[in-house]
Amino acid sequence: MTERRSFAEILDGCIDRVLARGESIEDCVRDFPEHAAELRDALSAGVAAAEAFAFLPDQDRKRAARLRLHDAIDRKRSRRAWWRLPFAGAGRAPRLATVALVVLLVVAGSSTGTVLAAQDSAPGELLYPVMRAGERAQLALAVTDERKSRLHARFMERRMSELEAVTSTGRGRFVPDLVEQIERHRARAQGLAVARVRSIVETLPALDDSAPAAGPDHEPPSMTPGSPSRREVSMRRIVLLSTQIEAFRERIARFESMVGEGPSRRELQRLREAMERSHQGLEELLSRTDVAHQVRGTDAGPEGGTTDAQGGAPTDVGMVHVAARIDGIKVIHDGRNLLGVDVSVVAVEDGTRHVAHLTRRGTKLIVDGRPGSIKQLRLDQAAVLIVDPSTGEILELQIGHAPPDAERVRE
Amino acid sequence: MRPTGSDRARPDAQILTDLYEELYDRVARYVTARTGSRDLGEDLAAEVFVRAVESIGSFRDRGAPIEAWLFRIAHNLVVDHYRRSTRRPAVVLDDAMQIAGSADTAAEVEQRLAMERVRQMMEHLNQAQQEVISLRFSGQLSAEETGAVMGRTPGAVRELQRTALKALRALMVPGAAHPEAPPHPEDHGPSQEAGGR
Repeated sequence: MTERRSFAEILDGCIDRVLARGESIEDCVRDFPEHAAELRDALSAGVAAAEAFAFLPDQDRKRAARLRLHDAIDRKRSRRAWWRLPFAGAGRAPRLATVALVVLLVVAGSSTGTVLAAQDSAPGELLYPVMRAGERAQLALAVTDERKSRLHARFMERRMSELEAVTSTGRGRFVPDLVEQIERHRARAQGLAVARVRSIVETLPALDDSAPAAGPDHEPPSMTPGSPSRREVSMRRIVLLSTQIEAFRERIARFESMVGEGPSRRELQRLREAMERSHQGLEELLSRTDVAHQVRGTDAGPEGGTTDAQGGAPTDVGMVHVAARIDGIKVIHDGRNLLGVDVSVVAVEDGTRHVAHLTRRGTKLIVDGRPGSIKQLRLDQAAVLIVDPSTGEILELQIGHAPPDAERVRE
Repeated sequence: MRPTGSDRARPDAQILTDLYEELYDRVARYVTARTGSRDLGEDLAAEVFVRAVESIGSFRDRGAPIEAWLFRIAHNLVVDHYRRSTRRPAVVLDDAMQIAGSADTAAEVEQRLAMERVRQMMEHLNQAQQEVISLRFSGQLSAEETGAVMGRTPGAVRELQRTALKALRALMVPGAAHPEAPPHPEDHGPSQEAGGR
């Protein structure tokens, strides 16, 4: 029994080594030759189970989950704010008195904190105008464009929920106002989010024609120092917004089916069409920005040559193939978000070290001839680098088919 | 930046958004491993974080390790789901139909098939064994954290995972050799494996 127990501990340690530290099963087995067969069997089964479920969650659903989380946090905050009102301090202060004071404070143009108490109100309710006034105050207090854009998107989401409530309960008189509000928030959220990215895209000289960059020292503006993190923030904002607007378009179509022919339906249709145009505009901007990033670091060639790098077949005509093995994997994050993975590889032929940056727009990872996931990377894997000889840039990291002489570099 | 118990001094919203960034994928995979449905896994993962907003007070009061606390919410959601649903296999069937009809890439289809196969094998394990494998390998929790979720000691978790892996291996044999298992490192095409059925 004790022997069993000790094997269970050994196995547990090996699971940690394989899962958390990326060691291979054989590394572990080597350390415990007396349990080799049993360890290998158990770890193989565990790793197979881990890999079977190691999918990358759908990014749209993940974003939707994030929105739900933020919404839940906001709702909780608003409820808490109610009980934290100074005059509600003496245990159970009369709710009506609180309501009256809230209204009074808002009429007097008072703080947004108080207004949070009205946050769950619906159109037609007493505190609804209070909530809207509170939103305006929040917008006025927001300092950055990023923050303002997020607030507009959040208020747009709120109006959508209200629109859903009024259309499903036949209160058509609220529809025109809500439609107008949604459209206004949409336009502001989009305008603020897009402004920065648009300036990046439009200053790129080689985007719309195949004119080369100005000179050997010229770098596209997307490379301006310090810009990547802020640019990433702006890009994420737009991706998020585009997803949100697309989801809204579908929701509005559903609302349309709930209401009969009439002015409400026409309003909804108008809103849906506006959402559609907006979504298209954002997607177009995103695709142009994608191209902008792919031009980065190359000779700013014609678009046809660069878009190829997005996901299709490898563009390896005239490219250099370097047999290598993976010798280090480093996750790059900014403390909150995964930004990419740097894979360090050693060339088989001359032992030189290269680093492939697997980011959204960096080196492509190909596994068994198909776009792969970072989950498939392991130390000591044989790899092939596809390198652009003119720039030295690593375009692709291929794994899954070993170069003929990759084995000998293992020891 | 992994959230830990020492982060309890931070505001709730900060802890929750950090947790979301750090753990959403792992929670989604864990729930998928438990239910066999990726759609359901991603749906319930979103729900886990909404519930976490409501119950973060309990985390602060009890001082449980934060990952174990979050996965406990996920575990309870899975249990609730099974209590509600008596037509368990239907979920798997929905996913299978998606495989047939979607425009996924071949790689995604293969991934789904591999998932399906392992899930079918896991159905032969008892609930505790399924849970330990899901928490440990898909949730990537340590034995200690897994124990905190399951209400068992770390030692009991280690013993349970040993028997669970042994049983799973028996179901996978003979065809399901892992890519890293010698002597055939390249042998990992899921389509050629027969699975354990």
